Amino acid sequence: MYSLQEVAAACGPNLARYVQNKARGGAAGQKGTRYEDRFALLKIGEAAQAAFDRNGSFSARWNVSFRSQAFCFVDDLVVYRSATRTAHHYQAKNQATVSWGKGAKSLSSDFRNQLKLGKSRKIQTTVTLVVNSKGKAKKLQADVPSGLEKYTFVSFFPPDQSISKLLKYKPMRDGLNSLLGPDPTDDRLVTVGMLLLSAWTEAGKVTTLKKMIEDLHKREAPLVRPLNPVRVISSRLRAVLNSIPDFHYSLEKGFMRWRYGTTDRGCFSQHCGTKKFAAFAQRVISRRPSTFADLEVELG
Amino acid sequence: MRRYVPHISSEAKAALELIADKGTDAAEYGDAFYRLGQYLAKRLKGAGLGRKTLLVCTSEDADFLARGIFESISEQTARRTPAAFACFWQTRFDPAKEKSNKKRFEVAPIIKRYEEQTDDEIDSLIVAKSIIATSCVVRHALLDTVGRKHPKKIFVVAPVISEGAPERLRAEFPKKVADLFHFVYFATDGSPDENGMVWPGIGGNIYERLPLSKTGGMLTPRIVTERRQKHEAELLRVS
Repeated sequence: MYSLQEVAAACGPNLARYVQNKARGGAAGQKGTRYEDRFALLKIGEAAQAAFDRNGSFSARWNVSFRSQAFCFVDDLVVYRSATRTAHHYQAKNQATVSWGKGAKSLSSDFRNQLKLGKSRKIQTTVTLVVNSKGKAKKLQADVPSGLEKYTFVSFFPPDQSISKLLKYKPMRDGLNSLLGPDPTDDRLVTVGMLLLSAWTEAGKVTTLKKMIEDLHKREAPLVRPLNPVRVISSRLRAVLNSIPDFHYSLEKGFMRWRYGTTDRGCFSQHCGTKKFAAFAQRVISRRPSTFADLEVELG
Repeated sequence: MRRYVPHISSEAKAALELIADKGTDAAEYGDAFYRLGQYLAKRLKGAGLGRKTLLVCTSEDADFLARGIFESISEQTARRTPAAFACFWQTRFDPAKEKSNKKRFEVAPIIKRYEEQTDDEIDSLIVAKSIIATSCVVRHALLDTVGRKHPKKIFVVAPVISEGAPERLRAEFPKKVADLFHFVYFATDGSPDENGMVWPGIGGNIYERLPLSKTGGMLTPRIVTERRQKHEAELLRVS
């Protein structure tokens, strides 16, 4: 996103060396378990909420990149949208005491330099400090260093380690739901959260929302919503499914949900545009089950 | 090193040894799990299940361990609301490419279920599993049911658990849910190995050891077929 030369040109050679050292110091080995990674999961979910349109299709112009330990001053997470040259930088602090500080290497100085660097490259930039208590966030927001108020924010993000606990935080729940197929139960939301955390962990220092979703689909990960949902299944498959007494199905967010009587229900594990679903359709069409007992062995 | 809980019966100990023995044949292996289910149910009896109980299991455990528990607790609650039965088909998936990340992100969402109707508030939720190793499957079953059924007590039941499994599972849930967990088991073995297996545990992979008869891509336990038919007959009779 920024080169050594660009940082040096905007902020001077000493600060460029400081950024270089900072970028080397990132604890890459721990990625996936840190506070900032769980926060990244929230931002991935929020980006997905914006990127999927009302028809459930992914809009490329809303695709954003995610960087961790980026070459810049505020570097825990950078969300960049190239279509608008907009960058949101986050520094996440999961510790008891957080202050803006003064002088070199302080948060205050890093945030100021980040805004200066963004301006030099004509990138619309915001900088956000993320902390683990609402009270702390309120206090730090009131104390934002002078001159930074317009583009500087302080956010709260819970310190909980497990995704199941983070589901009680509504923005996280809504974000994960935007990446899930239908039926947002805790079981399914945690599944998608774990899958995305894995994709983020293995992405290295930079990836995009679209690439993470595509990677999970390539690995045949269950429940992750498609970029472009299938809206109709083949007439031959419909004919067989419609002939089974008490069996009902619907297509939601590109997945086939079904129920039988009052006791059985489910959702096919992969969306209707996958090879697995095509193989299921082929088997059902060729075997023509006439009862739920005959069909259910295929509903994987 | 295996550790047994206090006051374990010689019958339960013998059944545990049978399932840990790789030489035990499939039919004997399944029978041993059924009996272990009955023995574990005796321990549940003392804990007070209350009036409304839901037992949840996976498809591979349904005809053996879960049937043993379910038939025993159904006898005990004969004069109360009958216990309800649920069977989940869960798809295990490990998205991690790198070995160091394996299991950390493993998931087992429920993709298909048979579940008998219960109120939205129940007295006891029983989650039965042949072994609790990484806790992944049990975690997803609990994630699904706890929020929907608001149980007053939650029993996590398995003949064998791995070292630290109760703590690992509790850490995944908010304290007020984790405080409801009661672990009912007979033996604790070491930690899971890199493949998620516990030794001596249940003598290897349950799918390879049980007499499971698959007629298609997915297993349909006999108990599910029997109870579904019974349920449909009831509905016909009422209508």
